[in-house]
Amino acid sequence: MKFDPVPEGTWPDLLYSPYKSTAKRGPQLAPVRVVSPVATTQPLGFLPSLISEGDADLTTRGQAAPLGEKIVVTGRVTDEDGRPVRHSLVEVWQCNAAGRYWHKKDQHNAPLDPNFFGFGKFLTDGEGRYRFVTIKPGPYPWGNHSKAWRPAHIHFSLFGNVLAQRLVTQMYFPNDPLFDFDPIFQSVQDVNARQRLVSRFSMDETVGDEMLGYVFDIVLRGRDATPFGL
Amino acid sequence: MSQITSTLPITSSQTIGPFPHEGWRWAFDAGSETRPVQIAGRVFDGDGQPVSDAVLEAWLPGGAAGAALPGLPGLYRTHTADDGSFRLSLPHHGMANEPACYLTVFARGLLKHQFSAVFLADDADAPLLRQVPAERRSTLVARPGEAGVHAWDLHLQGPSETVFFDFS
Repeated sequence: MKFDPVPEGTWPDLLYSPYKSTAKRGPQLAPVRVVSPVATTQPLGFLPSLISEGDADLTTRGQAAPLGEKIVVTGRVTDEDGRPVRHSLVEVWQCNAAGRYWHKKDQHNAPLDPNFFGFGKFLTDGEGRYRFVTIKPGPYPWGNHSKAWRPAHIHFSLFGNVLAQRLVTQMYFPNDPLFDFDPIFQSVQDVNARQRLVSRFSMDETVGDEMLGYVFDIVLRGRDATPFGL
Repeated sequence: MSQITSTLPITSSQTIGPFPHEGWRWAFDAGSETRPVQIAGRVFDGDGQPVSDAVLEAWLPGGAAGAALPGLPGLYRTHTADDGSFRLSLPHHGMANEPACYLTVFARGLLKHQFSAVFLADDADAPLLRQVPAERRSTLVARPGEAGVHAWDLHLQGPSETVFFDFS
C-alpha cells in the first residue's frame, strides 16, 4: 500500500502545552519518512482464534448486568480509498458509567461496578464492519488542570491489515459539553479531523427498547491496496 | 502531470492514556528465556525520567513462527514497569537486512503512537537503517549487554531522541 503524508493538523500536536504531559513525552524531531515493504505490504494475518465468545459484548462479563446505559456501537473501517479493512483486530477499552476504570491506578472517587470491566475485542468482517455492545462511559476528572474533566469516550486500538495502518484513537459522543475544555480532544488542530472523532447517534442502529445505537466509522491510512484487501 | 485523487480523510489519533492495561493484557507477552533474541532497556522522557506507563509492540518481519499467542503471528506486546524498564523476548525471523523487530510505542502524554525499530548491529546492508541520517542511526542499534541480552533504550525526546518513522 501507499501511505501519503498526513495533512497538517490531522494528527494531534505531539507537543501541545495545554495537555501537560506532552511537554516531556512528545517527540521534538520530525519522523523520518522511509520506504519499508515489510511495514506497508506484509499482511498481519490475524486469525479468528483471537476472539472468544462474548469479547464483543462488554455487558455480559460479570455475574449480573452492569449499571448504566446500555448502548451498541458500530461502524465501518476503511482505508483512504474507501476499501474495507477486512478481518482486522480492534480492541476497545473504557471507564464505567460512573467514570471509573477497572485499573489499580485509577484513584477517581467513583464506584467500581463489579459487573463491568470495560474492555473487549473483535475482528472486522468481510466488509470492514464491526459492532459491539457496552455501557455508555461517564466523564471523569484527570488532574491536568483545575476542573479538568474528560468528555465521555471509548478508546479504540486498530491494527489494520499492515503495520503502517496501526491506529489508537478515542471515540466521543455527540454534543458533549466538555469538548471545548478538553486538551486531548483539542490537540487535533483541524476542526474537521477533530469532529471525525465524534460518533453519531443512529436510530437505525438503535435496538428496540434495549439500547441506543451509535455509529463510528474509521478511516485508516493507506491506499492502492491489492485486490486481496491489503 | 496532475493526478486526480479522491481519498477519504483519515481518522486522527489520541493517546492510550494511563489505563490501557486491562484491555491489552490478553496480548501481553510474559517473555521466555528460551527465545533467542532478548532485548531489554528502559523508556525515558525528555528529562531522562522513566516512563512507567508505556506499551511497546514488537513486530517481526516475515510473521515469524513461534508466535506468543495463537492468532497473533509475529506480534509481541509488553508494557514498561515503574522504573520504565521492559524486556522483549523474540524468536529469530530469519529475514536478512531487516531489524530484529519493528517497534511501536504508546504512552500517556504521547498523542500518537510512534514507529521505530531495533537492530542488533549497525547493518550496512539494511535498507531501513540506511534511510536514517547517519548521525541518528545509533538510536536504533542495541548494545551488547550482559548474558547475551541486547541493551536498547527508547527516548521519546531530548538529545538522544529515538528515530521514529513515517512509512511511505
